[in-house]
Amino acid sequence: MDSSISHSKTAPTQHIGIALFLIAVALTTWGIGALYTLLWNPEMMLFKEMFRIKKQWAARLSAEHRQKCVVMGGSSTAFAFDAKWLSTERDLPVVNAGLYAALGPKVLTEVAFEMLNAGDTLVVALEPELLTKSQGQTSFAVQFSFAVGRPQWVTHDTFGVEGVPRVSALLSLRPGAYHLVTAAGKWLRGMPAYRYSISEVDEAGFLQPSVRVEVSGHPSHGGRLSCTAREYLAALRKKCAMRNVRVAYILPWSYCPPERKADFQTENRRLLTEIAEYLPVLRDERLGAYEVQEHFADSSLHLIGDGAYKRTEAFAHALREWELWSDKDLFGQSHQ
Amino acid sequence: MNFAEVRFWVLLLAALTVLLVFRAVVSKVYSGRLQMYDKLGLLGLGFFLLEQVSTVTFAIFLVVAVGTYLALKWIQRLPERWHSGALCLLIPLQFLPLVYYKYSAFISRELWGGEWEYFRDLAIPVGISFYTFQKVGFAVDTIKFGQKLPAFLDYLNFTAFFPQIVAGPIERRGDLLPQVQNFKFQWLPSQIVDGFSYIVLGLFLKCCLADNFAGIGIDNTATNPFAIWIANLVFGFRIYYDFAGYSLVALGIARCLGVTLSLNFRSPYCSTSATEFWRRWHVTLSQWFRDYVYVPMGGGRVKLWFLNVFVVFILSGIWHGAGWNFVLWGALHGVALIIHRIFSKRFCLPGFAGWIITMGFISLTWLCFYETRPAILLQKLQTLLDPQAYTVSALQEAALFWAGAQGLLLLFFGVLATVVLALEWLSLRQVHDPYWYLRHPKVLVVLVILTVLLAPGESNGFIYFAF
Repeated sequence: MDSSISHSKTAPTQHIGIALFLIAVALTTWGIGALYTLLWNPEMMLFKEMFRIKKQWAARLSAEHRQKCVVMGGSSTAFAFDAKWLSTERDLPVVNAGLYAALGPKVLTEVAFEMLNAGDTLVVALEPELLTKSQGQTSFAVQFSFAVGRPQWVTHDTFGVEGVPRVSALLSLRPGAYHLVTAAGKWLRGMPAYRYSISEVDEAGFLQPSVRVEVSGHPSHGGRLSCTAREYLAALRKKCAMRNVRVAYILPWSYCPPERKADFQTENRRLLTEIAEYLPVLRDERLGAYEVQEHFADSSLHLIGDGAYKRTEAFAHALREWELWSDKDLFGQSHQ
Repeated sequence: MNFAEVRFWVLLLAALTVLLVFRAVVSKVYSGRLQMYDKLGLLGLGFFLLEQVSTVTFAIFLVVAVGTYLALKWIQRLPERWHSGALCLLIPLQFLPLVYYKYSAFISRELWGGEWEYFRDLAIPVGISFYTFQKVGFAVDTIKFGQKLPAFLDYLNFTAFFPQIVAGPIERRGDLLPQVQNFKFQWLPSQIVDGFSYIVLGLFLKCCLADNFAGIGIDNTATNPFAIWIANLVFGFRIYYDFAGYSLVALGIARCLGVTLSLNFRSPYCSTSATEFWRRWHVTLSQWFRDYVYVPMGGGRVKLWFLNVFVVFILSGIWHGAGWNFVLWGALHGVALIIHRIFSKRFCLPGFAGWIITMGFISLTWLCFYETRPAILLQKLQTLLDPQAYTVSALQEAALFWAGAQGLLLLFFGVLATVVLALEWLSLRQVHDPYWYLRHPKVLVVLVILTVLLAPGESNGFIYFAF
């Protein structure tokens, strides 16, 4: 059995001094890391500003209209719904509350609820992977909540998701290796700090960046709700009922190569059948499959240009008609 | 008891605070009973923390621990000539919970051709592989060597000493028992700083290195040898820093309490032979197999010594997991040790060559550890051993996969891991303590900064919790 070896013969007070110094270094580093994460992280700054813009748009619509519709989801929502066009061209007061899928269903819902009033409509456009994979609250969700001054979004038990203990939440306020290493890599290569910029977001929160990356489409999410997603949807339905908010789910459009379309739509039908147990599902004959590769910016969920226009137009129709998938439509077809 | 979680430290500090407050009262009122209080307090702390892991884990542990003690008490009352026979009855009973929880699904699937749903859903109680071996060792040392059974409280503190209960080191009676028998809560500055240095280093290895290697997305192809080698390297770094990190934190916490645990890792990736690797990797498990399996079988003194080596390593593989991949892993290591023993008498490889060959072999065998699908495992092994698979296009394909952010992360952490290994090697060469330089105060400052800034937000469990 090994015995320990002292590095030097130091007095007891110096021993304790070393330990206290290390604790002080840890706290100081954490503090600097937290400040950077909350105030200077380019990604965080963008999403904070997007949140502010969307809230501002929501407040404007609330002042101008008796009721409005809030569409919530991750970045696929931010890219897909031109709320300003819907308001000016279709007279539909819509708030695009889409931000970033990494925030997770709970925080994305809290963001949407910040913009909802009684009598409004909530359209849930969460990416299927957020509902088919079991996941706890991400670090980014914690950091964002603190950055926008809403720590309770992650520390309280809401929407069927357990809150994170405060100490753990505070410890999550760190940049992490992925961010720091890739930031250093971008700086060395002279690339922008973040691929999107706030100038690419319009006054209604619609994001259409100039970045282009060829997308490959083999989308698959399993088609089955996770246990955490079921709890979330049940809690969401209950909360909407309490707040007198009409709610429905709508499937995001995803790039799908023609040869995979049938399988992908079957998978989506299966998922929608399960979601329909909790929320009404707005009818969309595409069933989430969109085949034009050039209409996507940098991922299979980020529509741009004509693709975003088509999506917005289809959504306008769905919202106006409020046609829902029936059990027979979904259930019968999902077993084919 | 996940040392990487805040919850563990909050519970530990809260429980210690309560203990020490009451201790202050006891020292004034019942000063003669202070050591009894300290031992009961240590036991209560261990039980509390283990129960927080899960009630099932705690219950199973208690059954095995109490059952072992009662059985030993009964055996010692028997005539001495019956002791060995009774021990031969006791040891299989001690292994029964381990076999049931860990191997029943594998046995039902492989030997009976079915997989009963019940066995498939059985969760392995945390630490059962470790504390079962510790208790078997205790039983053998007590009966075989005619040692006195300690007081029940001391025995429980030996088995339930919380820093090492769920993932080792697997301590021996002779090392840990005297320390818990004389245990008292005392806070000597040199102990605390010494322990603190191990805790900081352990958390750096686990949270900064292992957890980031775990987050690096690898190419899971079975046909590209370069991709497979990289995946093996990433896993090799991850498992070493994960397990060594845990062991060092355990050692550090124990040191803060005035208890010295065994150093379970002695810079294994500085080894220049498979034999040396097993003197440096998971040392307490190797020593357990040596003393309780290899030596009783005759060890290296018998003609068929190579069979003994082979059996020990097959068992070691099985200990790690219920799967043919683990059996293969153990078998490969057994063969390597046999080959080394035969040829090392005639040839002596230069240090660097020995290191390259050893690390290549170790890296190859890690594939058996993480690839649990037998057909894919064999395919990947074939790919690695096929010279014709090493083409320029395969290299280009692998390079393309790593061209983006994942490649940057791999490069960064690969360099950091190499620096850490270099410091381990220097420490070994100069002061024969593998973590000497890494525990230097100035280095610890850097490690603290790196851990705080770089540890991922989501914590991973310890790999060896699954064993």
